[in-house]
Amino acid sequence: MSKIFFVLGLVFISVLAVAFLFPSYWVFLGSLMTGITHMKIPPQFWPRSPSLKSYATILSQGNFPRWVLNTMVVTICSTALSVSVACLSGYAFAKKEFPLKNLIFWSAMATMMIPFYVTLIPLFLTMKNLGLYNTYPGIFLPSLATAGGMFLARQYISTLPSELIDSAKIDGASELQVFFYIIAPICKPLIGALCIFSFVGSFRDYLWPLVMTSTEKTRTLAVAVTTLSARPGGLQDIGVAMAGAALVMIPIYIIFFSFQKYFVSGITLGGIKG
Amino acid sequence: MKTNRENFLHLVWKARAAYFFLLPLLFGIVVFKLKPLVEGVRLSFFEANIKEQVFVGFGNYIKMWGDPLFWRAMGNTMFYVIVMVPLILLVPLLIALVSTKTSRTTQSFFRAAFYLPVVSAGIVMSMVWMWIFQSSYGVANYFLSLVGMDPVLWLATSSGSRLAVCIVQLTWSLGIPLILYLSALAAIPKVVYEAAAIDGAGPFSRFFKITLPLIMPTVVYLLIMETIGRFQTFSAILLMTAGGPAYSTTSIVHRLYQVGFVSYRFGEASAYGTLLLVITFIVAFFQFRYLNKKLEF
Amino acid sequence: MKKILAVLLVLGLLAGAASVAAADDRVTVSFWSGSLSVDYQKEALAIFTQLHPEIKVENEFVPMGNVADKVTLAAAAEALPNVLLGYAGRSIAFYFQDLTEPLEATLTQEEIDNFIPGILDIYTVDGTLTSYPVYQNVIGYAVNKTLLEEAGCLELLPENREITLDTWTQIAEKTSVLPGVYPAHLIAKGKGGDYYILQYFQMFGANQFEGRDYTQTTLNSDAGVKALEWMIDMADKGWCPPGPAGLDSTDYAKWLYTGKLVFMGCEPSMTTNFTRTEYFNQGFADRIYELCATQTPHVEGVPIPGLFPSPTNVVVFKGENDPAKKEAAITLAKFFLTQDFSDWATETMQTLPTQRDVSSGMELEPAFQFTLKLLAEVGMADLGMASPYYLEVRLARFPELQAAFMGIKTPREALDDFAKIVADMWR
Repeated sequence: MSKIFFVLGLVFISVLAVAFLFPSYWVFLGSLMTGITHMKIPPQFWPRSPSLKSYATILSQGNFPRWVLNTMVVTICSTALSVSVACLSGYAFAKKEFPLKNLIFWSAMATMMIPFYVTLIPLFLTMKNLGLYNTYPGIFLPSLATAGGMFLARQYISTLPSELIDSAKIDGASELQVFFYIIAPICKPLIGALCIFSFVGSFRDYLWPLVMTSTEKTRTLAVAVTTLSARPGGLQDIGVAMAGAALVMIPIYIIFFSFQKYFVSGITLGGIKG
Repeated sequence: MKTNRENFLHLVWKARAAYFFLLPLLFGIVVFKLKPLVEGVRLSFFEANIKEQVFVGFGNYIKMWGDPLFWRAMGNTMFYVIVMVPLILLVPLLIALVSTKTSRTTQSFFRAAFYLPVVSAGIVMSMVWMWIFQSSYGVANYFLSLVGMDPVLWLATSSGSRLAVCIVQLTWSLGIPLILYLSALAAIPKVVYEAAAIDGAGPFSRFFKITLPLIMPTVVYLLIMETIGRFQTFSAILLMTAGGPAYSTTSIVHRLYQVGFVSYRFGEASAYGTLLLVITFIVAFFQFRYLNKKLEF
Repeated sequence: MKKILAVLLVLGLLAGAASVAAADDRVTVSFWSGSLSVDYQKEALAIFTQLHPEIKVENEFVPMGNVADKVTLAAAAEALPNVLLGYAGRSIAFYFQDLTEPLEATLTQEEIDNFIPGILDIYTVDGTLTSYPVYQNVIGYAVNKTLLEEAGCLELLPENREITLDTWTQIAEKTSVLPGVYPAHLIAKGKGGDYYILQYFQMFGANQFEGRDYTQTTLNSDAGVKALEWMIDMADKGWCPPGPAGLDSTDYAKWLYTGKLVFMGCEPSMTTNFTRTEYFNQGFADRIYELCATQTPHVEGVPIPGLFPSPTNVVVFKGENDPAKKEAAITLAKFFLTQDFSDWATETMQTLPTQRDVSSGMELEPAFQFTLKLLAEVGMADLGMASPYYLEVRLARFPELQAAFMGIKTPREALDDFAKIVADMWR
């Protein structure tokens, strides 16, 4: 009986998976076509005369390496900051009691609940006044304020048995030692997940880097490729637009596939019960 | 006898380590999120364009209350939340449960298939989706015709558009829950299931009595985050339907954007945002309260 | 791992903090644009730098869809650029937000006279010139002659290319039997391309505004209601692609180039360039179609409608205190009015100039000849860009039209609602 459910389920999610993959496939397909072949009626599902011209257009832009560098700096810093902050604060909320705990927790949560367009102007002003316009920190510093990351960390860490901490303390460990030597090592799946979420979010972020950068000095890949496909009069070179999107997607795919094992494998909590 | 104040400070001192751990987050939140949030709420009591601000008290809120477009947006937003949140919570769980029983490579495939669309959300994606939902030559109708159904006027009808927005948003939203569920499921030791099987527990019983409670922290996280997220549904609308047709897909955040960045009425826009904050907060707070009671660790 | 991250962090901070400022005697002005492509922007500015080597231009490309966001933020932070080249509708909106300098005093009488008559008026509000119209596309009308041939009704197209409603209907009847062909393309989804549907309102004599009075719209006149009813009838008959409520101007190109449309609103350059564009060369269309520019259609008794402009304007932002920079900004803004720039613009982009003795380089093309002659006869139609609520009117118009096409409201209800919304804007 459960076998039937399983097979039905498998069929269903397989169909769903293919459907989900289709739009991404379409982007790669379009990146290999030129002109408006991509939008022909009836549609071509396979490129009859694939061409890398669109990629060449983008990669031959003198600033392409710069964009990649900028994006990597911003993304790595952003990820490093937000993951560490999330773990530190998640741990505090999960395992510690302190005055004003609820107030602080819900204040942090509340910052996720107001739409970005409302806080955009005041935030931009703050960054400008701090002299951070068109700088790397200007782009990645706000990722310090990762309420979502904190929440995920809190949920995860709250499932860890407190005996671990207690026994470490009895053995004389300091707060920091407990965190770095006891908690952090068993947070690998959490850290893995946080890393990939943060990396992806930062890498493909468009609006914030758009408003915070004005020159090639700091322009990120996601912003730069969008400008390349523009043609006068609001038209677009579709091939270049698709190739640009693909160039943003490919590095993330690579990172995702390489680091899958870190955030997927759960760990057994049986370690303490020994 | 210590006074309350002395007691409080004593507790603060005792817990100083906790604050130390919180410092970076607090700094970031206060400077980059809380300050703008307070500013946004403050602005909702003003009539403001780019250059000047005039205090109007609750004027913006009264205007909002009487604006039929606000109610359309509110209705649509509630639709998005009520329809999409359960799907985003349940479908990835289903996918996770089924795929954990398959081989490693298949699991990998499913993980990738559902997470990759998350990566590609954006302007170009919306171009692709608009093309997919095109009534005359779009792929969606092409596939419908393959199974013998009539073409749907997707973006030209209210229901078609709302469905299209939901579909697009869902492709962006299932990946992260799936990864978290897979991770949570993998953390459950096999021995627990074996013990249950020995006791003669069937699959449903196993799921509701063992699996679900053990992945509850993940479920709570997803429920709250997705609720917050879906209340703010925006990109799919902006890029694909422009809020239409005839305001049938506009959401609170979309209206907010139009009012603020097209009409330059920032006070009103802030009022929309503040209201959304209040509503979301109440919902999230009670979700957390109610569900956390069920967690015992 | 942590060490690497820390090093990267420090490097990042240092890189961000370091600013390279070369010692420079030149005056620096900042320039934003999203209307030209990145390459074209560089080309145009290269011409400017040759003419004015003493001025250094800090050039930033801002994607058209994000101009409003960036300018708004820049305004809030008092970090506006000096000069912006962009779609006129947006640029004038910035004027109404009190962000741009009035420009009427910057032009000599000679320069003013040089403009095509009437064009400066469109951008003049209460005696203030809000922006320089730099180049424009003009939206005319065209018919696909090849399809007419196929349907055997080429003789229905008059010599003088005047399209009355009768002519239109006759041609439509004959050509709609061709497989997959639509006589008209109605779009009601918005995001630009307003003129395509406003042309059909014009056909019946209904304009959005009369006499430059923007406090009320005249679209809901009897003529307007008739126009909308006619359009809905068109859609019901299947004479336009299905679901106008869900179509916008991006869908348009696909039908145009594959020869699926008989009549179309378009720029003259489209008819001339069509056979030369890569669109055809990519095999997108199965053959070359001959597009022929015509007058905008009109019902008998209604005067031939004016042509809609799709203009690109340049504005100078306020807030610049340095007089040298202020002057340089005006110089840069005026550069876009010179022969040098216009020559380059019309050649690279096949646009129309806004001044009289600037050559367009396209004079010899028959479609342009026709359009220019027509323009001289009928003048420009008023899109309402000089209204402080231009963008909001646009935003409000489409949902009402959509409601009419979807059958949610009757044409009269939809247009009356639209009129009410417009009137409310001024309260």
